[in-house]
Amino acid sequence: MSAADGIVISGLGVVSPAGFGAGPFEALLRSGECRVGPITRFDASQYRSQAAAQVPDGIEEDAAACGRAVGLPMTRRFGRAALYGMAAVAEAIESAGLHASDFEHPSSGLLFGGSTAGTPEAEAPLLELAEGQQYWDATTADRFLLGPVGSTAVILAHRLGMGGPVSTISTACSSASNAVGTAMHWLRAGRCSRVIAGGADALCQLTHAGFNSLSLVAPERPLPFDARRQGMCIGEGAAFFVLEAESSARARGAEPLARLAGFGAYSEAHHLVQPRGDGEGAATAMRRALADAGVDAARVGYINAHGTATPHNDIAEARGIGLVMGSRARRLPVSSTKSQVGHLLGASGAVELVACTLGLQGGFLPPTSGWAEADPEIALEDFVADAARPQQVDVLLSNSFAFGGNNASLCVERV
Amino acid sequence: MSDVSPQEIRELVLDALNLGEQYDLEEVALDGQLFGDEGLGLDSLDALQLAVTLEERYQVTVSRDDGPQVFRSIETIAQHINAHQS
Amino acid sequence: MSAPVITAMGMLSPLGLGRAAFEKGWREGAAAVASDSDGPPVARLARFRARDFLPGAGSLLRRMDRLSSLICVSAAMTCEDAGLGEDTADLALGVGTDLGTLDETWRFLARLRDKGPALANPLSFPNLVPNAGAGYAGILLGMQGPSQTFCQHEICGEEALGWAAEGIRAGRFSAAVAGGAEELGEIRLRAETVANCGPQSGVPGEGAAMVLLEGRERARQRGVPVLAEYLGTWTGRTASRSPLVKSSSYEGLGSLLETALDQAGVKPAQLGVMLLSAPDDRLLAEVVHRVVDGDLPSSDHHVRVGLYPADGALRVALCSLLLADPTLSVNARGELRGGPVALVLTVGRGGVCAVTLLRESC
Repeated sequence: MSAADGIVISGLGVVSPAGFGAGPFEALLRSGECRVGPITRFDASQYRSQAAAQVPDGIEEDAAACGRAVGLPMTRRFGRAALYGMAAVAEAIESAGLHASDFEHPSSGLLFGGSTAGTPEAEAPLLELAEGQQYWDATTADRFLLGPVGSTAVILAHRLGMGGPVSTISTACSSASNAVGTAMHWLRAGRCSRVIAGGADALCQLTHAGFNSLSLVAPERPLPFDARRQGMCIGEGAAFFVLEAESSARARGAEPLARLAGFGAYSEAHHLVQPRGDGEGAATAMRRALADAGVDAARVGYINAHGTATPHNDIAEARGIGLVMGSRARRLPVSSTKSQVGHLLGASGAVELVACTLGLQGGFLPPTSGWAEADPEIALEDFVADAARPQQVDVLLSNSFAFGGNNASLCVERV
Repeated sequence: MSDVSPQEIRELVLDALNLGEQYDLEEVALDGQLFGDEGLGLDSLDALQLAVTLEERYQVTVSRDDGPQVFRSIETIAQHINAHQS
Repeated sequence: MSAPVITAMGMLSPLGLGRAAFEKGWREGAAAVASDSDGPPVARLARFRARDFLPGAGSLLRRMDRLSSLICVSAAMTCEDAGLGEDTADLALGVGTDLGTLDETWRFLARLRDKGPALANPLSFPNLVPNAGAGYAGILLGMQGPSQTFCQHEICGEEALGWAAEGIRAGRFSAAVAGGAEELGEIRLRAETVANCGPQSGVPGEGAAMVLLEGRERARQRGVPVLAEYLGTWTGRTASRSPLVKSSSYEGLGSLLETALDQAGVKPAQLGVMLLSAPDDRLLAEVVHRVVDGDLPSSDHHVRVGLYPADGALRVALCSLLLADPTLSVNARGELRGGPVALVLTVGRGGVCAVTLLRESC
């Protein structure tokens, strides 16, 4: 692709706590409701928090028609994350006006970002092991092999019959953003002419137990940037995009949904779990995204925050936004989609990018559900409190910050 | 239940936090400050781990509010356990 | 556009800890395979203690799991071998690992089952993310460039290296530490037998291999010797019966290799050595044979240092040594490399495959 040619999202698909598809997801965004509720997937009674945002049952059936239409049949055989991924990929392909067969050639690639892959299926036999029972007698080879995080990507590629590059990035909560950003690099380098990029993560006891042990989980719902916030709640789902050069999308008559203008990646080199309190880590990722996009900070009309609702993240991120946006920060709309669908961990960057894209397309800003009480340590004022707002922006930033100080930011433009 | 000695607690803390990678036994004074840069550099992640370790070993709870006082030194941890063991 | 070259490395292998130990062991035809008590032969790191290599890093080391410490030590060794001193802030970091901290994850889950959620270990959980090692290495060495961790099964080492090389070529950063690491833990060892996901022949191994990639101009300015030019990594997928197991036909792999050669501007006759993920795999060797129309000297790392999913990085590092020193034998039979280009070829679960080409530096 030429230097002047941008990279666009020509199709998208999503599985979220709102169910299958961009339609229900957009309806959820516009409603301002929160889909965090009691965990039913496993017995959570012994955990500090029993709240998470689960994907409703029935994805296999709901996505079946779409899957058939694009040549990517649904199956539960490979576990939940793979099913969510399949459904989201199918929708993305359909919305791009393409078919699975369009991705077989080595010029098409797949870039996946996630953190747990088939862990729900791999962990179950271990967690249910009876006294004296051996793990390897209680499980199957296939079930075990679903565990490694790279498994979802190959499952998707296999079912699509893809022959091109397949890659998995796993950097905790910034995985999918890094996957999308790296897909941009693949396209710019001419490694592929089309890439399916995104992520999928399914609720499992490993991560629910882990975040609970770190006292990072809210008992009822996440309240990003709110003074009453007590932490995150885990969510699950998948989101995928068909990415290509703008010229290539238009050449086949496809209408791009948004332009991926820039990607910034930064490693804080500070602490494995805590973000830099001064916001410089967050700011650097955002600045790098803007520099990559060749966009001035003054043009940013909205920021979809990492916004986990942990005490530390929200303060650090707000400071970072202040450093980048200067005096504009105070009034700049900043919201967290995690307030509605929870934290999708490795897949969060992708589902939040869907929210951004739908907002750009539909002329609205996704809300921070439940925001009501200002935190004096957070010098921002506009969190698009509680309800989506009709507003058209031209440029936005989408942030994802992870364990290991792995920070990613995407700059997205309206087409 | 007999009282735990500070020496026993020191061993437990060293083990739970893998402090042997960073300090020799003699460097961990029984009455020395544990947390922060002026102390042994323990942080909030260590506090969470210590709470789990004490719960498991002695069935003694350390609430988030009590944390700063209880975890001040090896001796204060021992005192807390001895005060709360049933 | 900056041509990426390899100028340094950090190696933790069963042949020894550090580049010098690895080179010496390789040159002498050594093999480091032994049987665990009454078990099958394996190739393990001997007497590895991170504190021996990272004095003064105790506050970080105490937090780390073993895999993270392998990544940190090999990254630190790479920076030292490169003579970078304090000049590490702009370094990018690429790490490949397939199974990550598998044993520690299992321990976390077993404890969850046995003791309940309230007693889960908070210190253990952050180490379970695949990028924990990269995170610790970044903190330890003050690296603030982009950091990515790749996990696409057996090509993860090449993913990390290819990403780093491409980033330098595109001018996103001027230098990167990149490579892969994998542990030989109980779960993986058992899985390779029971789940049939391990190597068909050769022994299971472990280790970490990292290299410094930088732009050719930058290497020249620093006055450091160039070991090899990194021409690129090309990845793809061959058809497989199931996405969870390795493919058996390698259809399409030949054409990936031809594409790589073509795009790198390399004639098949220039290939001088091959380092395969499965050196005893006849079908794999056959793919190369057809493209090259002949046989290439093939390394025997599978029986000398063992195999692990991220070992594409070890093979790339070994390649750069073979390219820098044509008198270094490719295998214990004493074969030397022929032409100026080395091929690292990997196939993995789900049909993923990677072709990496390196060329001797003029």
